[in-house]
Amino acid sequence: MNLPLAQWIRPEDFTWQPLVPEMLLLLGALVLPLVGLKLKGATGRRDMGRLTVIVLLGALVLVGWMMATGAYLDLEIQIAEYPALYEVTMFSQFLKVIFLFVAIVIALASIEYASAFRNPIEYYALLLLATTGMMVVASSRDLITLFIGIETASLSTYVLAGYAKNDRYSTEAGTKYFIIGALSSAIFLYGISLVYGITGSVRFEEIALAMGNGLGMDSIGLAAIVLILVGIGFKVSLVPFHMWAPDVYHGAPDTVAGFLSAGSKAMGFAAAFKILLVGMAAIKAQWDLILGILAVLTMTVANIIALRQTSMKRLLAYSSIAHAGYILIAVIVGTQYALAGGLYHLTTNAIMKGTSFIIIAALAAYAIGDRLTDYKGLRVRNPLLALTLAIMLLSLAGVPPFAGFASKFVLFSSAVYESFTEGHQWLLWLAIAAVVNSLISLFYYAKIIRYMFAETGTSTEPIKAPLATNIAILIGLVLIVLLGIWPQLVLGPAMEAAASLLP
Amino acid sequence: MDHTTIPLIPIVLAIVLAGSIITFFLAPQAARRFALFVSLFPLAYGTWVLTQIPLAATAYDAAAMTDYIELPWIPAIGAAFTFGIDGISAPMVFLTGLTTTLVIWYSWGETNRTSQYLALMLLIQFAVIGVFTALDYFLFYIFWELVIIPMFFLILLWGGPNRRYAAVKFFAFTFVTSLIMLLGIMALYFQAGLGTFNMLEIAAVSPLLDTGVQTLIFAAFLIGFGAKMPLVPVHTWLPDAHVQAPTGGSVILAAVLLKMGAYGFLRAALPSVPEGFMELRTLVIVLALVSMVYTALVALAQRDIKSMIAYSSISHMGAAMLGFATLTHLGLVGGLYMMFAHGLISAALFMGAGIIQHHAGTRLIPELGGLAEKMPMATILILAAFLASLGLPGMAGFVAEILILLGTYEAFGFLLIVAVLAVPITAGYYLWAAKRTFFGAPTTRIDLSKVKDAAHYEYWPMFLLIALAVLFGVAPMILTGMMDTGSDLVLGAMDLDLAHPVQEVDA
Repeated sequence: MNLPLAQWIRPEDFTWQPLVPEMLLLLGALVLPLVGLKLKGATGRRDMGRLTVIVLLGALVLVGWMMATGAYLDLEIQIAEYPALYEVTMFSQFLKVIFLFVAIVIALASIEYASAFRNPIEYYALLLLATTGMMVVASSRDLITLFIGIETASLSTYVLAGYAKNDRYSTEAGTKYFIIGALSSAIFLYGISLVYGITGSVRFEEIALAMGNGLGMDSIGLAAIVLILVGIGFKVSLVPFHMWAPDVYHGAPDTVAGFLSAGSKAMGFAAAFKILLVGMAAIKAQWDLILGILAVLTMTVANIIALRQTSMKRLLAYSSIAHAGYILIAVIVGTQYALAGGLYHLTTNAIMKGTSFIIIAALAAYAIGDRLTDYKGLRVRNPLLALTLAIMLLSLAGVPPFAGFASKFVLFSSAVYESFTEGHQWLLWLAIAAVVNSLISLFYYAKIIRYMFAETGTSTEPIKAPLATNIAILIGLVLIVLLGIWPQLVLGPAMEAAASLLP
Repeated sequence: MDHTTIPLIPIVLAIVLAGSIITFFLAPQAARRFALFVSLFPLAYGTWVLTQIPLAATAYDAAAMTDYIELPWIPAIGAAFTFGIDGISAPMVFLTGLTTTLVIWYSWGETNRTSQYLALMLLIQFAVIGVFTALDYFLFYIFWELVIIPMFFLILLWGGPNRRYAAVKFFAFTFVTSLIMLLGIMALYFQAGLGTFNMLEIAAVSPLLDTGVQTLIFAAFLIGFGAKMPLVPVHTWLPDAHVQAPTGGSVILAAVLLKMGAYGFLRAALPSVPEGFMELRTLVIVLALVSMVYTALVALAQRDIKSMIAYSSISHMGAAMLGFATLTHLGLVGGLYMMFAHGLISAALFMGAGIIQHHAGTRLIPELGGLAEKMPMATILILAAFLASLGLPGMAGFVAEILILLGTYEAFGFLLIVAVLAVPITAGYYLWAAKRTFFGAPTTRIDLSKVKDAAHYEYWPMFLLIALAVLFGVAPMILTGMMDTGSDLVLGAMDLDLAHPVQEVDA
């Protein structure tokens, strides 16, 4: 433990190569603000965005290369004698691809959107830092590293949510998000301390070993689980810990809302997968029913409230909450197939939500505000945006042949399968609740589509989206169709990722 | 029949899909020509495949299928691109190719966003051919749902005054019910436990499943397919959708989309869960009879010609369902023939209603009268379609009806009387509507002097449909051979002891 500092940083002591993507982002976050000081005017502000995209793309290429070739995979990154805190597996790389993809798409859309801010320099630095934090979560091997990753990402996103300083909604969002986030982190940390008290370790495999030996099946174990679930519940916005989400999504800048809905959510679930499916898998009987009730509650409440929303971003916020409920099925069922379904749905959800919020951001420049009625007649004003948004919404509702259907299918059918084979009869009801909820959701999505296509709006002035935004939107559109008709592209790696996580 | 190694069905599907996307971006005049050209491919393939069905097939497996192909798709869940055509699907593929080509021809006069309209038509055709050829439950479901989206937009963007309500109702009904069907598919997939969605492989083991499970699965299918057919009481979306849809959409809806439900019963439900069907058979028979007779009575009371034809469609599809429920060769072949004949005839009927709407400006029967003088060509064709639909001997509808009625008698004896009730009612509403619309005193409610006869792109497709209805009325053996083989295979796969079907029901 008391290694001299000099020994820590000697490259020959540990394999540092797998950490290059994270290092690249960190370097970008630290160096880009300095570069930004030299860039002047509106063009300079846009160049900041372009540089960020390049840094992120570099990291994505590296992660993708590691995934494709298997280089450095299944490596515990050990520093001298110190036990490994960090791992590189299919699971971690899969999630990193999601995080980086979301960050790239958001950064692309931000080139134009964030140039409206007086000073977007820190905006991009925070975006990179948040992404780094998420990647740390995906690779963590113990609760402390995981917590540090969550906090790095969260602290960055608190600032991002309140980035539009002159907009009081944005300031409110930032403040609210910070207070709720700090509270949930505290609760989560308390849960971690209880786990440490029970098992004497914060490392996932040691927790799993101790709990496999019968520790934690008591009331203290239950308390630890409840505290951790509450902490995670806040992060991924499960009902009844969801109250902050609509306000924050509504107030935060559109691109940031997309980042929260697509990226932060995936990070929360990455943490949930690690803690519950690896660390606490042995005491599943303690938590699976609680989570089942939370899942049904989350999707039902969110979908019913969403029906009455008149604000586009609040509606998408509730849709995001509902999707957290669906993905929870992956944790509850906990098989390789279910986890693959969960990862698959995290991917599609990230694409659908990211693209939707980008479109909203692009429309904001044309006085299309937040009200649903503002979307009337959008088809006439910009057919590409209207069609893409319609496809994203249909996919969110789970209409084939779009990717949202395929991922929901894998997710829900895993519950059906378990209910048949393992005698977990109640899982069938979970699947039925999820299907019924998908149905309810169709009605509010269809309402927006009807507004866009069948109603006439107050203006017919054509809308022109910036090139970078169009590129981001097209990527989303192509992916959502492609992954819908060719699910294997994601499902194959997702199955491998799930296999690498589960013991 | 040798299995070709060329994946013909995926190629045809790919052509239609690519054609649809290209059409979307073309200028209107070019889009018309291009869409018509693209639609000739499935028509040619559908015609050719009619001659390729192996009539000697004895087992419900891949060997009985023409152009059977299985390409890997989602190995993680065992779904594959499995396609194949047998005696049940071949007439449907032909019908889909034919009606789409004729509808595109008929739509030559469509000037409102023509390219997008035709692109959606081709997209529907793509999805429907997919439904009729897919032999993988997952793939089947994807195509099944894919039909809904373009149809939804077709009604929403090109429909009549009340189109928003009709489009959303259509979407809600078909989507809700097909999700229930999806639960049935999932249950079947896991219960069969083969790790594959292949229909033929599942049908080889699933009839041995527990009767209770089969009943639940069949109930899910009944709701999904029943709503599409549609059967009473989940039929209420259809009249709304038909009345509000543009003519082309109505034609496709009636001629092809309704057949998907009936086809689904034969392909996806009966061979896989026969015991479940036997449990719910009485319910199916009752629903079929109610659909036949009740909707015929409702049709009698309609003021809108399109609405009348819509209810008549429900009545006819009820007859097809009754044919299937008999589980006799005659009944099954009759039901299949009804699907085909109704496809031809209802397409002609809706085109006729479109002509009246286009040239007289209204479809309300009380507003019309004496049209025969003003539009003789249209009158002749529409009357021929009316007669075909009410089952005039010598036309395709008659063959279907007589087979179904014979099958009904063979299976259920004098329950036939209820089924026969629908025949005079059908004749009644058609003849009454014809009298009030075309003959009688010239109407004063619309300006008859401005009414012109049908345009050439309107009456030629109709004429072809009527001609084919006559051809298949006098020469049913073109199709009955393959239909007989197809229904044989389905009955064989069901493997029920039906030596005495009459007692089966009595008991």
